[in-house]
Amino acid sequence: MLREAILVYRAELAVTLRNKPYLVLGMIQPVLYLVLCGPLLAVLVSKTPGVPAQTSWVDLTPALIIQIAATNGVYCGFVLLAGIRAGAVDRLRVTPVSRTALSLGQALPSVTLSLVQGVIILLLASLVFGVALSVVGVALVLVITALTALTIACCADAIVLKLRKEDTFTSIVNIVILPLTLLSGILLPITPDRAPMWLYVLSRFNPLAYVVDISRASFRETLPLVPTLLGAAVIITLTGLAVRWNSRTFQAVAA
Amino acid sequence: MIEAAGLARTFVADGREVAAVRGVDLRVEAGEIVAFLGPNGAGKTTTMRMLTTLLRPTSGQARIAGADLLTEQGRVRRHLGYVAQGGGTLDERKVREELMLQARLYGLNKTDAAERVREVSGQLGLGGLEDRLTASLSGGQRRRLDLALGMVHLPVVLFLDEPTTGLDPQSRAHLWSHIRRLRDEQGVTVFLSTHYLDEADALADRIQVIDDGVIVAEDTPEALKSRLLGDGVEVTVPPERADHAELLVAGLPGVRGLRREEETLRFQVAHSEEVLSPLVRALDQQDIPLVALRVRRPTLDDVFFTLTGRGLREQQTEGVTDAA
Repeated sequence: MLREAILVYRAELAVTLRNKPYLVLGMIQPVLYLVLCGPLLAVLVSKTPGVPAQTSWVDLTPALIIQIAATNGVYCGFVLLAGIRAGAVDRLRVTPVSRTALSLGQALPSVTLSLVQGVIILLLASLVFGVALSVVGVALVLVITALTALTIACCADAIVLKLRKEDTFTSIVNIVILPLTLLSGILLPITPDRAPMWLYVLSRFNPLAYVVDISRASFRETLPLVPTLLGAAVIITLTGLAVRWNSRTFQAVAA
Repeated sequence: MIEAAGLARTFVADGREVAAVRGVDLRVEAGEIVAFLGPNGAGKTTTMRMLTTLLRPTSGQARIAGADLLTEQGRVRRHLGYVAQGGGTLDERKVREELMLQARLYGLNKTDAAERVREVSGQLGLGGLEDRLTASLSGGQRRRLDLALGMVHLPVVLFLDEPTTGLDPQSRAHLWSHIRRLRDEQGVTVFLSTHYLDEADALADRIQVIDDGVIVAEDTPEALKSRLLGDGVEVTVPPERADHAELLVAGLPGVRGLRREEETLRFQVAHSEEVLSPLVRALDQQDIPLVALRVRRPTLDDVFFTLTGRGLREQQTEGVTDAA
């Protein structure tokens, strides 16, 4: 199973790596946020009494990495859509390869891409903006990034397999991703002391909010216990469910 | 090699149930090339997708190479090769990458896969193209790559969905010879769908004619043509002898549909070979000079018209979409 998943993964990754425009554009967005939006947040934070000066970068960087993971996950859905249209997915489905291997192999390139881009953002944040990084923090944020990319890629793939239509998938992405991102507090943390209560409560219904929380927590000097455990529980559960859903959908298209 | 009974598939489109395939019975023996002939929307692709485990039948059952289609999907998949109508390659992959991936997914290790890829590339004339992106291949090259992908794991039965649609005549003839060789040299059983009559005629040992989701006729190309229509014969004699000649022809065994247009007599017989020499002898005995003699073999287009009451190219967009 693992061998086959790796075969499919490598073949898919090779295709993604040949899409140079996507690789460049995928990086530009988070870098722009970091460079163009980061300083503004820094000024805002510096004028908020009682908040340490480094907070803005520590808030923004890990959240941007989650955004990278989400973008790559969604892109994975578009790659699958192209594969379906080209008949390449059916070609895989007539082979005796397990459906779990096929679905995982299809989704995993988004993890690789997110990790590489995540490391670039971390380096940029550390070297240019002086964000302090710890080994534990970096390791944790990268694990979360990988799981987030895999989760969103699996969901995107499962949706694509069910719909098989480009325009419908695009509208679903637009409808779902924007509120999901805003309500996760990627740009501005949604905390009880900063946000109106209703917004905070609403954000607590968004699983991605816990993922962003744990990602931020990994950048603190001391790892806060509650967000870390809660975030870990949420992302591990989500990944498990998403992988299962995707694999079952791959199985069920034969029905 | 392929046995199917009552295979049927219904789709739901716009809240209505549409029967794409309505009970197909098939039997393909080992080493046969069988063509599945029918117009677009007849249910060819749907049947193919059911037989290759891509689509679950609404009802019916089938066995592929001895394995049950519904309960032994793994075994069925190991034994079959499938080349879809639109192929299955990605533009951004190289020829070698596609072939290696396919070979390795069927369990070959790196060395064996490379060996097998070399072999199949040679057989299908892909030598020298291994490092090209598939996007840069010509239509004919791409189709040969599709065929190579379907064959790389040495399947015992090969499903080809409209293998030459969209190819130029030379590439088509080229591909036909490759398909024949697969069967002749490797004993592969081939089940191919087509809406080209000449393709079914040129390649197939047997033809199954499908229309509107059911098989309407099944036989060898020759038998199908002679059973349904026979050969058309045209005899021209001097005008003043036409009456006499008509009497003679009418007396020959097996003559059907005799018509006379001035000095030309037209009629049908099951096999023209059996009637030509008695005809010539009879005319000779009566001293009737033969001005012209023509034999017209029926095309499968005629066959299809006789079976369904319409030609093959009339209804390109009607019915359920085949790709569904």
